[in-house]
Amino acid sequence: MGLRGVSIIGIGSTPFGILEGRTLKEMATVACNEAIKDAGVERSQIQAFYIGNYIAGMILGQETIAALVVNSLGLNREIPSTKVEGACSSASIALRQGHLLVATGVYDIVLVAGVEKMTSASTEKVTQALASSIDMETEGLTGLTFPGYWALIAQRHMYEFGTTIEQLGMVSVKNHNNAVFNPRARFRDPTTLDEVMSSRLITDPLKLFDCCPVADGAAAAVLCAAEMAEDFTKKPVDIIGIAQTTGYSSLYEQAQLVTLPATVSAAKKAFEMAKLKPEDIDVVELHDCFTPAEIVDAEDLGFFEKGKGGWAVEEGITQVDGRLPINASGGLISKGHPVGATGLGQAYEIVKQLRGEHENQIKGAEIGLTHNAGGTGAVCCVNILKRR
Amino acid sequence: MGDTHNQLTAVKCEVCDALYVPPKYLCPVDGANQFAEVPLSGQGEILTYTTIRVPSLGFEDQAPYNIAVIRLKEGINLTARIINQEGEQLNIGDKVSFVKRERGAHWFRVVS
Repeated sequence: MGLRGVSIIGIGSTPFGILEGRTLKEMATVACNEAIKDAGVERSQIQAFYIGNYIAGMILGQETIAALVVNSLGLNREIPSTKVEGACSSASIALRQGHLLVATGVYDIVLVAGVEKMTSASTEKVTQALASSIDMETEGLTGLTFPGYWALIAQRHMYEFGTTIEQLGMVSVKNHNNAVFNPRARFRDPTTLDEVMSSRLITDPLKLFDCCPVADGAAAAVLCAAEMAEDFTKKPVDIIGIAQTTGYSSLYEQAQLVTLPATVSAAKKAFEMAKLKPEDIDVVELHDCFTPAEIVDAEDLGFFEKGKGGWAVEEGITQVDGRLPINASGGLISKGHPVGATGLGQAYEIVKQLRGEHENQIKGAEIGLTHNAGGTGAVCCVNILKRR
Repeated sequence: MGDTHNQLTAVKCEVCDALYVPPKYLCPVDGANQFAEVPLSGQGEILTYTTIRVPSLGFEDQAPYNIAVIRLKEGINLTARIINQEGEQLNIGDKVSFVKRERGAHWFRVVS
């Protein structure tokens, strides 16, 4: 089946952070409305709506969010509205569903979004809700948490490759210092390696500054058939590679403990579709939920040989002025991680980079990549975006 | 679920002999659904470990607690709790021995 090209013609986002008094519905509405205005489409032109969300059912008692937002926006009620869930990659799944519907010619214009409200619940409740993507019939019964999951991987990565605690810390320093420029980021103060290293232990060897913060937030995008994109905007961004794959629902079932197989497979598919190689990418937003994740992800995406990710950070390759800037937005570590919104938050940052409009602009960025992992790497989405 | 078990067991696929702890509904290798329960040695070694200091709901009274991925002598991996012994530092490669299965979680202790 021949597929049409698909472009992102509009983007919208709330800030990510503690948005006190702002509700789930309000944030989703604001981000969607901004994307619609940015695209220059009429609300009546939107033919379908997908929204990613992970834990609103568990911590807010709110489900059936897609219809809620369609009604809040005053979109045509004859359109289908669907919520999708794949833990922390929920918003990227919404993006992919929208892409599929436009690429196959079912619709011309689709609105996609992601939203999460986390900061009104207790740490224990949020930790429990997030841990629900671990297999609760097996590994979940041990009391494993998400930071714990990444601590197990970090410990093994350090053992196999000599990755150091300081290298993990350098990821945090880089991402905090990038977020200083990003008005959408939760943490905007710079930090130092000393501050990171002396922060309190959460789950050995991860400290507080190795962990991304929870956040409230929403992000949205309007997708359109590539051939129509310039009717709406002078700066369309084309989706040239897009893939979603499945990994494991528990760590012990993985043959290797230093990789997310779903990242490897999604990257392979997305690069094949785009007919590109890792060295063609100018700017990356990847899923740094914990500092070891940034190192492991960068290796799994093919940017660095397995085991070399820590040294790439140490050598400054992933800094904004390095050969491959990673998480110029501040990443999940500093921008914050409203789990169901993050994937489209990453797309928002990359689209701004490719339009040349980012607050922490990578000069001349033409091709960008987003990587969004869900749960124990049970779900992974990789997108490759290109400016015209 | 409240049962405590002191013998570590696996299920063995009757088609391909693959072992699974915990059990599977279908063998992911060949799709077969006939399994036999077999006893395991309960001996293994730590592949990686952590100490959870910020627990999930329902585990607050247990924190801090140790979790490890263990390679069992029979060649399969398992995520398990390691009983915390005073002043003990866990290491990758430490030999461990099965203690019990309780509420679905497997517990091991380090053996010297």
